[in-house]
Amino acid sequence: MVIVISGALLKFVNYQREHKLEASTPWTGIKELTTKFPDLKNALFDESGELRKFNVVYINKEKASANTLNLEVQNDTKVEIITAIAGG
Amino acid sequence: MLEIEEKNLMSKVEQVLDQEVLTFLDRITKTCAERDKKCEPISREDLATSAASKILSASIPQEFGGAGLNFMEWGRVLEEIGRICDDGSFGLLVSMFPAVANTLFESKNDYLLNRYAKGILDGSTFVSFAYTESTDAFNFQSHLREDGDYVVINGEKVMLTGGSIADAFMTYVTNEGSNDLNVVMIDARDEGVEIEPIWTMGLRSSGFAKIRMKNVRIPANRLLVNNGGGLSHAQNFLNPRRVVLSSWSVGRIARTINMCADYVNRTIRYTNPLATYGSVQSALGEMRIAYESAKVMVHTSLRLLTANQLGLAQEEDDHTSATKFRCVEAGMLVTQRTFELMGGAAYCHPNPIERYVRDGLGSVSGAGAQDIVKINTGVKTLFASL
Repeated sequence: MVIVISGALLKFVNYQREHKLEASTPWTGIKELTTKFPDLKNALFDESGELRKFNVVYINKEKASANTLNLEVQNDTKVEIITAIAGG
Repeated sequence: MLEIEEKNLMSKVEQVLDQEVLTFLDRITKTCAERDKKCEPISREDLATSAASKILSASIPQEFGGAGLNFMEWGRVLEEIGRICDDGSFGLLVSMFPAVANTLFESKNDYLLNRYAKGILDGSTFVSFAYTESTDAFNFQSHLREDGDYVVINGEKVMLTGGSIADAFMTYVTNEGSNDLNVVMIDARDEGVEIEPIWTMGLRSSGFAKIRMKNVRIPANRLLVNNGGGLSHAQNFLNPRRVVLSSWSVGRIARTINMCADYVNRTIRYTNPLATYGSVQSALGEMRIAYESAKVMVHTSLRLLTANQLGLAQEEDDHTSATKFRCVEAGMLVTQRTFELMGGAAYCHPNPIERYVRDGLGSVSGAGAQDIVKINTGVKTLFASL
């Protein structure tokens, strides 16, 4: 799968936008990415290991849910993550 | 909206904006230019009057002593205030302070809501939102260190609405231990807190201020959020604010158009009123179209907020952001065209149009900078089909 990082999260992955990973589900793919880039972990996950709610994940152009994050996917799956925050 | 729904809605608005309140708003209008000139905040006395007249408590839930107006009703009250009252800062403050109070009421933290939120009802306590730094939220430099039953805060927040008026600040800081964003209530009188008023281009009566926190040591029970949910908490606060602020803006846009229409009707050029010229009519039409489209977006967003039908509150919502974006653009277009039609008269103080331009530009960077809104919306458009 390919995980695409955008926006404010880019700095946690050395500003590399696309990341090719071998993973069976989007969730395991995201976890692997945070192993590779430890600084990304805190931005993506809270203390209990859940994805922080302001991070929006898309799987093949569909907004992901807790269910779809754990579904097995094809090798050519594209997972896109954006942190959608705006200021006051 | 159905005629009967609109009638019922306006009836609720009129209950809030009764004759006594209208007289008060008229006084706020008449004293606005002088406050603007001196960069003087809306006074505590006037805010207390706003509380006594129930403006400040209109959107506070009934269970906590407010009128319990929903988003649609409160938004329409603010729209009317924008249309009637000349002071943009007044609209900003009477929407912001209750919004912070409501966040505290929603926390169900009895200690904090008794200490900081209930005072909105009688105008005795005002809390400002302390979030903005000169960086993104992942790099906030303001930090908190846990120290037993206390927490110690150091840092700076560069722009707080109502900061020089507020009694306390709902402050977003990075926890040094967990690296998460915490939310903590800091009193203006806590040792180590320095408040510096800021002179701004517009909205000069909003009490904008910078706060510095130097080893501010306070009890840990003033933590509002300490489980890593700080950023979500901020977004939950900010998303509806985009629409609520836009509600006031729609009223201000209507006020501006009315002023312009009045001017072109009575101003004679080459023996004819300006209003008879096609170019003037076209400009007014353009302004009206911008107003109507902004109004539709705001009213739709208010309806969706009321019905809790917008997406996850913790992420920046496309709809509320698009509404805010459109309102700011409409406001800027309307003030620009008014300038073009009114000429030198618009440029001169105390004609309010020059102040409306200065006030309006505050929204380009405030409540979600226009640029960031576009970027976030654009990226999400790349990722998912409409």
